[in-house]
Amino acid sequence: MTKGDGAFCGVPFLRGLGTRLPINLAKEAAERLLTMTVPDPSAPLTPNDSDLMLVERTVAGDQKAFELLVIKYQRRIQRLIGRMVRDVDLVEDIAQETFIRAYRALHQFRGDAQFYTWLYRIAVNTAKKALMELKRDPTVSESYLQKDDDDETKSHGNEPITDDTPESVYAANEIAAVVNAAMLALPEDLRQALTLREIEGLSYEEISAAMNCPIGTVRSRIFRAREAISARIKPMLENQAGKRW
Amino acid sequence: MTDVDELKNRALVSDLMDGRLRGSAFSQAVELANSNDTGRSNWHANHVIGDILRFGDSAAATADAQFVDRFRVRFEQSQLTTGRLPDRSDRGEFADGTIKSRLGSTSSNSSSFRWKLAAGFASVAAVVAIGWNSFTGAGGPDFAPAGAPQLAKAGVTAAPNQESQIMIRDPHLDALLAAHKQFGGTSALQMPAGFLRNATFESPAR
Repeated sequence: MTKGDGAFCGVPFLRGLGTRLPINLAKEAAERLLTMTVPDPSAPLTPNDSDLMLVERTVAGDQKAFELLVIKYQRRIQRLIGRMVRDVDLVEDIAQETFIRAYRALHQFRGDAQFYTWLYRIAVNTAKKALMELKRDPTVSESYLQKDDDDETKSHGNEPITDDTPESVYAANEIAAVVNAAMLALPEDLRQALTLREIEGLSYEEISAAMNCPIGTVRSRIFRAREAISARIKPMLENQAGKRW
Repeated sequence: MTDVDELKNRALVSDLMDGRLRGSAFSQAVELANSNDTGRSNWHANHVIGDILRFGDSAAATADAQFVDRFRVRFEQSQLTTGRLPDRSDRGEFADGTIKSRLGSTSSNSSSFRWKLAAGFASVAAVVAIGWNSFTGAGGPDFAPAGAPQLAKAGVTAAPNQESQIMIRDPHLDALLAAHKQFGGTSALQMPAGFLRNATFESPAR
């Protein structure tokens, strides 16, 4: 399968799979979507709306909601900062400062852009400020960072830009392999539902239309798929250098 | 907690991830996802799965569980030093723990209304004070607005050749100017600039 083969070309678990079912399914979904009417304002929320709702809840005074966003985005922010400052000792410090600044400015977030886009800007500014204070110059231009960050699949080699150890990198790769293997081992209907949800980013309603089943079934399938994969990787996540959530 | 309850909780966290929850269910899911290690573990694991499937990115799997704890400590410290918190009363949390929808709430810059109100009062007070002073003359000549007296003088000195137009207060200076008519139209002495008003204006004596 080459990169131009279809919407699933970037999905590791489908590489070399030899089946065209997901692509056919995606085409069918696309056809169904084209025939659908314009969604009404009461349309269901998307994961981005989930971020927005967490933001709103945080602004309303619930710090726990913000901590969920911290858990969700901490690694991406650390990696972004790591590419900018190239100093392992500074990365966590700046990342923490980024989240604190974001928290304080949260009431200014209007939801026009994705939350991560907004957070990205804060992280870049915080890193620049930290570098200015340390009388250093950013070693990587912002345009490079933006381009780089857009392509989340791009490998960054073995650059020591975060506090990753070879062991943790190996463990992470192992977890990725287990996720892909667990995905392949899922029953067809669960795998399709999770694929359309996570990879294609379709809403439950769209998945329901694509798979021709009720929304409740879609919800159940996605949950069961996550449960099956999660059961495989949770022990690995918790065993990483004694880390425990 | 029974296994069924745990299963329901995990299903709620999954729904929370996909943005399926609103109102009290959303509040409950947030609480479940971050109330203990299990909830955070579920939340984190689901996002790791998503990141790996979506981007092939296993970096999220290396996320540090203690990062949030350290963030919490640092956040508390920063609150102690700056005392800044999002204004809960200003944002309107409902009694049932839900929050007002962004669409249904007031605009996010509504807090600036207080500043607008204060600026309005200040403007009105300033106008009243200036008006009162100019009406009563309480501020004395130095305190009076600069524009009005000058205009009045200009009106009086519309015809430069008449003796009554000479507004010089110092008799000695008046005598000097009488001797040197060429300085009579200088604006520094609050006289009309004759050469501007009438290019042909010249004293007959010159």
